[in-house]
Amino acid sequence: MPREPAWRVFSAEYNSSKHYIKATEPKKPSYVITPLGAKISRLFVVGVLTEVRLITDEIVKARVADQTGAFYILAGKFNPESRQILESVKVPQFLAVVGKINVFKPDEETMYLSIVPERVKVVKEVLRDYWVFDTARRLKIRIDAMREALKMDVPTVNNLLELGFSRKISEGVITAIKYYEKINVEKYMDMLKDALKHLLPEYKMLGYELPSVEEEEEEEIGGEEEELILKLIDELNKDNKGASYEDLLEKSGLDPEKLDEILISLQEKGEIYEPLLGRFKRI
Amino acid sequence: MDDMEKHIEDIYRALGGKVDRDVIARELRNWIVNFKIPIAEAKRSIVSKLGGDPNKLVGNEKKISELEIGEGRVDLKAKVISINSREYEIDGIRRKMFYGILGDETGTIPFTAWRLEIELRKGDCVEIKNAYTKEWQGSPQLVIGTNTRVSLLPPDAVNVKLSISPRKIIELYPRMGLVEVVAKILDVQEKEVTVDGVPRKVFDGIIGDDTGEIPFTSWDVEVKKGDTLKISGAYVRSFRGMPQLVFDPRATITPVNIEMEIREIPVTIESLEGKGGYNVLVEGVIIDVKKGSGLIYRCPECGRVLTSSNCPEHGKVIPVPDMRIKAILDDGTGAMMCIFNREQTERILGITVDDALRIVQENFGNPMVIREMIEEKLIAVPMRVRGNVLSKEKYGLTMLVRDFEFLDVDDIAKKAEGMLEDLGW
Repeated sequence: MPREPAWRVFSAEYNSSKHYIKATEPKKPSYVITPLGAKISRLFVVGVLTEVRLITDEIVKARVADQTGAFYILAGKFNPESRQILESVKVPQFLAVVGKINVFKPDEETMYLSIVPERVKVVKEVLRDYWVFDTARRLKIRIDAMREALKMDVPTVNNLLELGFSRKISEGVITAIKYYEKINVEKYMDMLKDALKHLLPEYKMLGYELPSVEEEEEEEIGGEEEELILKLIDELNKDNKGASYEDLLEKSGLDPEKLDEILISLQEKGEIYEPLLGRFKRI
Repeated sequence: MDDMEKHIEDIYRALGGKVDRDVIARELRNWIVNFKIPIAEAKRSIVSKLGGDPNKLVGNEKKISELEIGEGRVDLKAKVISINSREYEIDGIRRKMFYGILGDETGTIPFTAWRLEIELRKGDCVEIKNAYTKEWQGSPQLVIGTNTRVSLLPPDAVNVKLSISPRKIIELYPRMGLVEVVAKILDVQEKEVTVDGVPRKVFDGIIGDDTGEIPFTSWDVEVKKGDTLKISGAYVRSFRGMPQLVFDPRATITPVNIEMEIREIPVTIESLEGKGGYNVLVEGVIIDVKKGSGLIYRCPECGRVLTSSNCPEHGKVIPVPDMRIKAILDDGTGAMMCIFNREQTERILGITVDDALRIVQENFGNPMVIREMIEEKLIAVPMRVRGNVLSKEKYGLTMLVRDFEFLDVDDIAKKAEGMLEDLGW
């Protein structure tokens, strides 16, 4: 069995994936299918470590930013070496991560993606720059393949192979077309160019803003509602066992779906955890 | 089309369309329903009775050029163009499988046989019944399975049309049909062997074009180092985990007068999967350093890596220290194990084996310090490596590194600018 390649993808492409192929047999890999057809089980990422949080005694969550967004890194008790490095380094820091996909799918529509690290290493800036370039040229191949496939009346793996694309790219692109209704190839082209521009000295001198954590997440879910739930969790924390789900539902006045969404988001951010099923506590 | 209609159609065709389908249908029903004659026999008899030649009745017999991927039942007559065998183990039992190339007057096709009742040799003509096809490297491959019958035909019962496809060296993979390459002999050695009591000359060497290099074997055709040749009608087999080009006097070999530049193009790791490669160049990033890297001890007799002073073969020995690296190189398309020898490891670390022994001693005998030094040097670092890549089904790809260098990452801005230029900013 060939080893699964460590895909180079920008975080925006990875995080916008909506499809997941779960392994049907033990020891077989599971895959995330990105909108451009990267069929990922393992990734290699070099970016800027911007945030590290201890979620529990055993789980560390970190953010590694690239020019398009950020990857979440989730190191648990099975990744002691990576966890130890993440816990000990100061942010910001250039960091290389090799890891496996991790998918959290609370319901049909929602999918949270992170990376469980196999290897973590503090690196120099040049290696981050090399990664951006390498990732850009890999992305270019997928963009080309996707453009060709979308031009075909009936896109098939064989047609892409005949155009000279590799088997993995061809199969990935055809799979993505099946799963995704609309694939905005040009959006990724713009993203690619932007990422490359950051490597040029004139742009580098101007400096660029790393995407800030708060802004991005407030867009996802209303910050006010999260604040409310956090306050309620403190208030409803009876006997120090945590606030019960039923109490939260009643006091917040939110519908269950919305509440679930907020609770998951807060857990993802490492603000709260679930000591017992249906009980929530601040970290 | 249901079975009955298909049989009627077969008979209709065998009779050259001279007899009405209704007549055939009536006959067929009579033979089968009333006389309970087996269908094959009934068909032959009907053709014969209605004045045709039963030999024109062909079941699912197809020509090679008609074969598509995923055919369930295929009969064909073909000539064995090449055949090789490989041993494998299932449930502890050693078995032998065969693979090679078959040809007929319309073309060639690679085949795999999990079992062969008769011994086949190159040049044999065979009749194959109830084989099937599957996809292999994007083209159909014929599979001789457990329900397939293979029988010998008289010699030269099948003429082969050699559909020879021009290829670049980099495109060659084992079991490929007949190919034509234009390439330069980079190295060659002559030897004599005896095959079935007949002495034959063999020329082994390396041949290359502007895309890569490949080992070759020439039977009875003398080639000289430096020759640039057009070799038409060679085939490719797998030899020691790598593709090898093979040709003999049946190939058309003509010298060509062009200056062939052997270029150094890095290949993707994906393109090596399942076939390996000779002296290939690969660019990627080291993403893991494996156990067994760093300071190791070997048996002085057999070189086996030891974890104690007992060699399973030679008993109590005084192990000799050595260094090596087993690292995973990944280029985003695939991954392969790279093995760096002692001299290369010393170069990467900037220390000798003696230094390593001293460092381990200073760290209270913990050999992990050396592996950690390697990880610090290599992980996440882009490299260019060259060497032979072996492909093993169980372990994937392994390169025995012949040469390596760290990629220059300082000119990334220039490369980025170049790419933006191409993309139109």
